[in-house]
Amino acid sequence: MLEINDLYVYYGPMAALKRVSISVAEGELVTVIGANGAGKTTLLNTISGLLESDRGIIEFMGRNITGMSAHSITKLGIIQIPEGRGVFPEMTVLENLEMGAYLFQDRKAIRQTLEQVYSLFPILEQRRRQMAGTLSGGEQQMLAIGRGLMSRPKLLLLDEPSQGLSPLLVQSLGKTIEGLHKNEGLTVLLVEQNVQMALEMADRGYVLQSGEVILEDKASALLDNQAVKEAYLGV
Amino acid sequence: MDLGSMLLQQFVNGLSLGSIYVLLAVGFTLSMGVLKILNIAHGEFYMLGGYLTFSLWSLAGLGYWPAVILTIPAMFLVGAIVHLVGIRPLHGKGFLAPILSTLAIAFLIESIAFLVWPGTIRLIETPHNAVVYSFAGVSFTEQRLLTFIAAMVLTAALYFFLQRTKLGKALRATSQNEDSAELVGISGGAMRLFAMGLSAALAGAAGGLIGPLFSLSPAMGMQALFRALIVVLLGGLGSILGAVVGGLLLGLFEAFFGGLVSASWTPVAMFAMIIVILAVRPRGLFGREELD
Repeated sequence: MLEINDLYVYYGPMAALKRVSISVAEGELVTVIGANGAGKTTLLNTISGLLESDRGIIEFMGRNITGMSAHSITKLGIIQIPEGRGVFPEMTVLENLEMGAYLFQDRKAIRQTLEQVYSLFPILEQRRRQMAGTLSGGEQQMLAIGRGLMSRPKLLLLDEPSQGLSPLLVQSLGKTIEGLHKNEGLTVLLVEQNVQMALEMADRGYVLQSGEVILEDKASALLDNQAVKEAYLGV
Repeated sequence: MDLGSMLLQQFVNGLSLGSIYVLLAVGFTLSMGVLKILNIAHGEFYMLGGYLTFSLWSLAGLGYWPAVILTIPAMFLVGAIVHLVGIRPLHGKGFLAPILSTLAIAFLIESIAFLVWPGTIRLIETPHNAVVYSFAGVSFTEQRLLTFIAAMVLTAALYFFLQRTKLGKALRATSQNEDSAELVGISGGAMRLFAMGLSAALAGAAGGLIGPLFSLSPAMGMQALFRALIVVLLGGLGSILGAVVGGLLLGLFEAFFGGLVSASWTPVAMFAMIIVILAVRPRGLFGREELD
């Protein structure tokens, strides 16, 4: 579904991504793990079109999307939940969710998706008239994911969803993402610093270090990998 | 005239003047919010709107209201062109470049106005100026009343457009988080173009409405820009309701100061006010966001 081939992104003279080749098949949950500053967010922002790549090709469902604008890439069904949630703070929860369905016209279908999001995150229905900026961090994360689901993604790009959340919330969020993947067949590319959680739910994983992919394997194999254990799991 | 009715008279004058500042400032705050630039040419849109209405009325022989209504889409076009020529090429090139570009555009528009409308000062005459209402020792022309109503109706229309329509919500989303707006499928480029057009249209309408109350001059743009800035300082950035409160407050301040102290010292007092507000409340009187 997603094929990234030999991708390079530079910030000035510094390469943020080098020789990155990653693929995600339909129905897969793939994770990219790595330390802070390894280039994980740069990778997602380049796929979604917020950043431009300097070399390499990104293909989505057989179509070359390299260099396309972010809003056109969204139209194709690649939906990014940005790092730090990126809700619209001075719009209500409901308005935020409605913005997720910006590209759709069919009100009945939008209503149905909204009901699904509400059943997934009941707190959002309770808070629907509240300004998004007044929500707690966990609620904003739910809203950000809810807004992404409103866009009916073909491929969901999740950027550090566990960031700033309590361990309990991280656990329930992990279950939600896993559920979406297993029950709804949602294809997910997950970027995480919480390596344990990410590898436990993913099918496959890539390890990114200083902008380069240094390891790729089945998630279960990466969990057992000595180098991964030492570097990211603290064992 | 006793003091009571004199104060009331200034209050009425201040409201009609303030309503124009409201319209001027909502456009200013809209472009600031969506484009994240300080548009120095905003006051020139106001001046140009005034002259366009004047020309449509005096040369094309249109009635005053049709002239105002035609001015609005014409100024939308001007704003869109200014955006495409002077602002869009500098998008993402820092904070200063677009400001300098709009400063150049401001002088360009002002110079053009001096060439096209040289010499005498222009005043639009409408039949509403001849109808004077008076009660309780206060008198005002029908024009002032209609100006106030028109400015408030346009502001309310903008408010409902931004709150209720899909396009309006997309504009708000873009001003609150540009990246997230792109990620839900909103074209930031289209929103910036549209916001600039709308901003100029609103400023142009304000200029058209001031025409029958005060005479026009090509130099009025810069003064209008400063007033728009003060309103945003008073009411907070990006807030329509703040602009309404700030605009009316400024109109009242100008009327009371001009009426009770001295009209020639009003600008001095206003500019001193900017400095005081900035020193005491850098985010504006009601503002939550930083003005940077």
